[in-house]
Amino acid sequence: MLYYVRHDSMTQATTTFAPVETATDGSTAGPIAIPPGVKAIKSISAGFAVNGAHSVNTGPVYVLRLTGTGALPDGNQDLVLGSIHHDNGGGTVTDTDTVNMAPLRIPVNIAVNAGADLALQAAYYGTDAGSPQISIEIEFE
Amino acid sequence: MAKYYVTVANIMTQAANTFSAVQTLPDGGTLSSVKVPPGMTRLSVLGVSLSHDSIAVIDTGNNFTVQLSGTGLVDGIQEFHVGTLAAQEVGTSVGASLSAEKANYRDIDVKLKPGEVVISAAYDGTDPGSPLLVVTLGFE
Repeated sequence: MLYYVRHDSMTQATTTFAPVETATDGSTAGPIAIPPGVKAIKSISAGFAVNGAHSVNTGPVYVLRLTGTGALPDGNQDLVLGSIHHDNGGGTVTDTDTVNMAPLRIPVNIAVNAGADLALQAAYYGTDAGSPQISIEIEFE
Repeated sequence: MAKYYVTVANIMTQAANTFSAVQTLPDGGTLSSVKVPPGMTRLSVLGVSLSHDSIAVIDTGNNFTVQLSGTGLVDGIQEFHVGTLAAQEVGTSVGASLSAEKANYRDIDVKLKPGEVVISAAYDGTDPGSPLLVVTLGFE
């Protein structure tokens, strides 16, 4: 098994994909070069949280897209990841909230072509909540 | 294990106990039905995420159902209970909440044939606003 992580800040508008291409050291790593001998993605792990003020009464749902020229014999793959909702009612309540969430892990069996570049992209449905941070781990076999 | 994944969503503005189409792609496009991919013989994964993407109407609680229909289903219409949303408040606008929910992925076994799969969703209870429902189907 081989494991890779990319993350990014999602500043785009709703229903718009943007790259998830920042490495854990903060550099712009871009797509993941699929290592020699690898045949499939075996799991995807993901987390997301608004890094800043989460706009009240918003609860977008996040989606991951796997793409990349020649990387996926079966084409692009889109998977739902989950949501965070900040409810403040109809008033002007001052609130401080925290939430902790273990990563979502999705077992999959998605064929890949070794040597190609696997690009990760993310989008959200619903209302812009701020600038969520999204992190994706890919497990190859 | 599923090999091919399709994701669509719906902002559920319909009344209770009424099915409506789940057909918005993550890039904002419309996919009114999913053509069974060549060589795929069954749906093996159903992933769903629910959210109040607005002010949750207080004192409401809803269960959500996803319905699959269309010419691509060997055994006809299939329905799945996919989750619950609730909002409670004592007083008027005295509270707030931050809630996170991972998408729920479950194994299913729905036999397919060449054709189309249409995804719809409904909820019970009282209209909670315009909940957001996102569905991922996994084919193999």
